[in-house]
Amino acid sequence: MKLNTQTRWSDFHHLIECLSEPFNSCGFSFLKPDGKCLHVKTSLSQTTLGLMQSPMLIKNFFPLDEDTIYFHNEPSFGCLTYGGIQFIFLQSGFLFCVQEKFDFLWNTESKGKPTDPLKIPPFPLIEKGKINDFIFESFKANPNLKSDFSEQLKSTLKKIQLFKQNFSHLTTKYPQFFTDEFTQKYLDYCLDEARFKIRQKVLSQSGYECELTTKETFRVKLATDESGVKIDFQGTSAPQKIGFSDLFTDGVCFHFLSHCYQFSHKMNSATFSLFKIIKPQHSLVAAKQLSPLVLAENYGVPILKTALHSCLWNIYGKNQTAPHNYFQPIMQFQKESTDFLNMKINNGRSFYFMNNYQQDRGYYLKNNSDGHDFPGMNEFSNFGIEVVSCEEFNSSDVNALSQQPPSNAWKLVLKSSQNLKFILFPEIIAKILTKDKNLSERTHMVIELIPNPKNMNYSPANFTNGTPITSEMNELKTEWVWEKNNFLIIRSGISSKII
Amino acid sequence: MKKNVIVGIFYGESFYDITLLSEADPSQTLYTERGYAPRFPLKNALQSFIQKNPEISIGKVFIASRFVEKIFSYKLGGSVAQIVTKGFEKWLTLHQKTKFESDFKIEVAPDLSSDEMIFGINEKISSEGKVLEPLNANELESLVEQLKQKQAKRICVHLINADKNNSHLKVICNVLTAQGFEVFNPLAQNFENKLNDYPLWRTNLIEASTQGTFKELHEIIKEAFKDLCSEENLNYFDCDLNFSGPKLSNHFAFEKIIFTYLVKNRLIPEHSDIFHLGNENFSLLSPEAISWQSPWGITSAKSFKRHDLKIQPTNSFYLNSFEEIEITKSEETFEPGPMSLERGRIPCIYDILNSENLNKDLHKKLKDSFWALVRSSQTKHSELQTFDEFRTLILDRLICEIQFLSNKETLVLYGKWAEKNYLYLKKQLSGKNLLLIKESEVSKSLMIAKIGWDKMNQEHK
Repeated sequence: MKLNTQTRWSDFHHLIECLSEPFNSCGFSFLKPDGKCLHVKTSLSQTTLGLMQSPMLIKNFFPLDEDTIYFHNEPSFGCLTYGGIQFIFLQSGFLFCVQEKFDFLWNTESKGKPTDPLKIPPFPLIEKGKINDFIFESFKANPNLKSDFSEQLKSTLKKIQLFKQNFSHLTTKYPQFFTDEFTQKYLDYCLDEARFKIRQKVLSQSGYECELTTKETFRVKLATDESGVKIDFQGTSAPQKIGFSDLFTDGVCFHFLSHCYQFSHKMNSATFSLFKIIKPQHSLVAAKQLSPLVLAENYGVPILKTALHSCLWNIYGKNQTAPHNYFQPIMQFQKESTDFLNMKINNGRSFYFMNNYQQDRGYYLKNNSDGHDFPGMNEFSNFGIEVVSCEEFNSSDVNALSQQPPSNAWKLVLKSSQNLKFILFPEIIAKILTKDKNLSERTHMVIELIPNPKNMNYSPANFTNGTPITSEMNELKTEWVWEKNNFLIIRSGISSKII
Repeated sequence: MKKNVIVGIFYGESFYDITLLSEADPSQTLYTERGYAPRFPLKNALQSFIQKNPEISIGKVFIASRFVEKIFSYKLGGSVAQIVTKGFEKWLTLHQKTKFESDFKIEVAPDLSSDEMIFGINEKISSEGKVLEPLNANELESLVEQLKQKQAKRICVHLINADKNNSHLKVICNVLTAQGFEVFNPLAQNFENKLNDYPLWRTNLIEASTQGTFKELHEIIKEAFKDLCSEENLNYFDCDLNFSGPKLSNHFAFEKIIFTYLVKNRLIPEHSDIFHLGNENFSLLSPEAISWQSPWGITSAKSFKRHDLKIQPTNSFYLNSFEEIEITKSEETFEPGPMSLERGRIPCIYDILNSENLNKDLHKKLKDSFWALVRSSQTKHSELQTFDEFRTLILDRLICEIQFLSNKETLVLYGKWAEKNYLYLKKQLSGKNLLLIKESEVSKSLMIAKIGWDKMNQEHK
């Protein structure tokens, strides 16, 4: 890509965006030989810093060369998503990390703690150009893994090998892009642009503080000035039941705020250098004893995002998307066997939206992030669950910013035809301590378990007076027995009321 | 003496492509035309040929289209209503997928149907197929009145567990049909993947919502063949290469046709991808059957894999933060369309690729407009060679993306811009075999006509 013998930054940027095309599933990073990250792309914010740093960690500790592909799911090496596996390799002097998500079963541990059933320390999956057969044999023998796991791994390896060939061709075709001088200048440009974008917004500061159901205090201050963004977690408690790592916290902060300041397509080492993140040693945002990844993912990401968004709202006001509770309660239904049905439910929350042609814009109340997290009728019935109704109910919490009718909350009524275990990962923010009335009004999800009364008909209107089982919970995970023919009623929560 | 012909038509968003073959000898192409419909409608093209060739007698017409694609970004389903089991009116909405979501912005496809057109009906079938709550005839009657008041024309009937027991579904569909509504029963459609309810409901709703646009297409084609052939001879391919009328499955027929035709005639190896550099779309086509990922989420409609590239013919240009000329991420529409089609005012990718084919005045107009933007960039450009420079840039970017996207050894280059740029693209593409299929020799409509002819002969046998 040469225009009139000049080399353009835009063309290099397009090129690096194309690099991640074959790996759209989870995460991708591309690093200079000196370890500076040129590009990171991920849909899971907590993995951002892990992707940026793990290739260099592997390179420093293990004999990584161009004929070797390492893989691991070790959180301390930056693999920070449940079911995620990182693949790290070198090509033409540059370092790459590809993170793919695999469908591991939950709760395979007998103690009932949700954690990764498979621990993979950094290990060469390909060594001196040859596949490590020993690894594949050991996966075959592991009953906790799905039968197609090895096939999925092999398919990822195939993609990586093709990618390596293509990248090698690219460096030959466009040598002007792959010099140390050019890549460094690209990073400098990105830095200037990101700094400019931060400065374009009001430079100010704000804070957020809350108490968790698990009794920890979470506190953050967000400030922007000429040098960049400062995020200070001083005052946050030591971990009691929840704790996540440095890389985890930094990743969420960087990813989230780069979207706010609109340089998310240029996340790299240079733009990250604009962030100063202060984390008290041994606090829950920089814990030494880490929570299982499922819990860190379910609780850590929403707490950080909810807090940062609230700070942004206070700084920038109503021209921004309204803050909301990012937490999605997760439910699991378990048969006597190890079969699980997972269901993720969003609280009603307001989103800034625009449609493709920008004809319509405004605030949108959205219940569900993605249909994939919410089972279909047949998935429920295959699990012995009858969906009795799924209705919206009008809430008095009218969101003033919404252009939609206020029917943003809903009620799901389920009936079991067999004994099931019902597992809930409930809300964690118990009380917002920040004196800001805009952020204090919201309703939590309410769940009721009702024994089947005789002659009860199926009208959802009959299910109004049960006793919530979700009140006063201070555990991150709670289990109930859901007996045959009993009803389970789930009322969604609503995010903060904003006037 | 009359000469019997068969016809193939590919009708895109704004361009069409038509071929007439001799029915006796389909290797004989009698007429072929490609046109930009807003300026030169299909009817005009066809009628002027027929006037000059009165001996022509039109037999079967075979059609594949992408006409409805243009409406996917608009709000659909104005007069489409849904009848849904009471209590499940929001079931589909709860499973709605968003096109793009960040923490600060959400891009949603416009609603498939408005809330006020969803009508709940008291009835319930259990997951074992047992009737838990019977239908009430009086309620159904009053619902019909409400539908009339709302001026609903097309009705989708979405009942919970209807796949286990369709007795309620049948009654409702019969009553509505008798009342003159166009009824869409998800179980009666030729949709795949009936495993779950919401993709099926969604597909049914899209089918109903696009029906008006398909009717519009049908009217255009009917009008073009007025007095030339009867309506029964207009055959719309579906994605299995059967004929199913002007319906959603016609939208996915062309991918199947192109792979079937090219492989069958040994023009390409069986396992290859197609790099489509078409008039209206740049994409990578793969011969893998999948469920169509609509802008509203997964559907039950069968399609072949199509990956739209980052650059599209109607992308325009802007000065980016590097102070360089960059290609926009959003597309303009074909109406008014690119400047070189003499209706639009914004220079697009299409214009740059087409710049050599323009008359002097149009070329100057385009150049002035484009240069006004280009000269403000930080990079130095030559006014004389600016189109050449950006043409190279566009092709380089396309090849860069394709290089990483396709995992097949052979890549087939096809489409309006393929032939002219083949040599350059071949040189740039590393490690793959790039095979050219010339659209001037094997047009879309020719393939459609020939597949149609094969199908006709199979049926005769």
